[in-house]
Amino acid sequence: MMTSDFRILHPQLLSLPTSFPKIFPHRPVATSLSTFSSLSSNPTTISSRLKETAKDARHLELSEEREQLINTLGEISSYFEEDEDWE
Amino acid sequence: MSSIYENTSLYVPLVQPRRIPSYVSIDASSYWHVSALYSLLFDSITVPSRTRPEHPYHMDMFDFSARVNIQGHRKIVNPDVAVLFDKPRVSDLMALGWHEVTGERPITATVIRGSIDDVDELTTTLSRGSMISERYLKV
Repeated sequence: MMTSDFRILHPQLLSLPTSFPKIFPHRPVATSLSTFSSLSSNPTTISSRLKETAKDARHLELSEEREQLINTLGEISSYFEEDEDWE
Repeated sequence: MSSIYENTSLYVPLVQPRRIPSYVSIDASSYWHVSALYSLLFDSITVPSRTRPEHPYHMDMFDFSARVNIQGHRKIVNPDVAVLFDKPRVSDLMALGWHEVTGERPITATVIRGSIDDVDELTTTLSRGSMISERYLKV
């Protein structure tokens, strides 16, 4: 099973320029915000989505480009299907 | 994507979030409003790489991407962002990437911005698991 997470706490608030739309109705005059942001590697999700895309690509008309695209998507998808043996 | 994959460090698909938290009110047909959501993510996730190297909060983008793409070729990652108001809840998260397969335990790299009272509680609330490898800097 692979488990590894990382976080960094940065003291600087996110500053909102005056051009930022007023999308926080409860804080209409906020000029800076605290935020939580993350990037996640979800192998099953990614692999599943790539397979769907490859399936859609089979409907493309240009056969040479179609085959190349399907092969590349299959190759990328395979990266997300390999087993991990570290923890 | 297929043509640039080999030359990228990370590939971050962006989609319009299916669920918007109650603290956000947007016109979903407005590029201005939707791009504001993306800018929350982009500005937050890249702030360590835009900080001067002498600061302890600095981290270059390569190091950050290596924390989530630990195998080197799993370059596609899903982004999430939340604005931290009074009492953050998991429903505050906006998923800006591909729809996740339920129950999957991902590998995650997180940037938390601002002065947080209890970063462990926040992490537990908003993350999908415990942080076993981390860099925590006291404000």
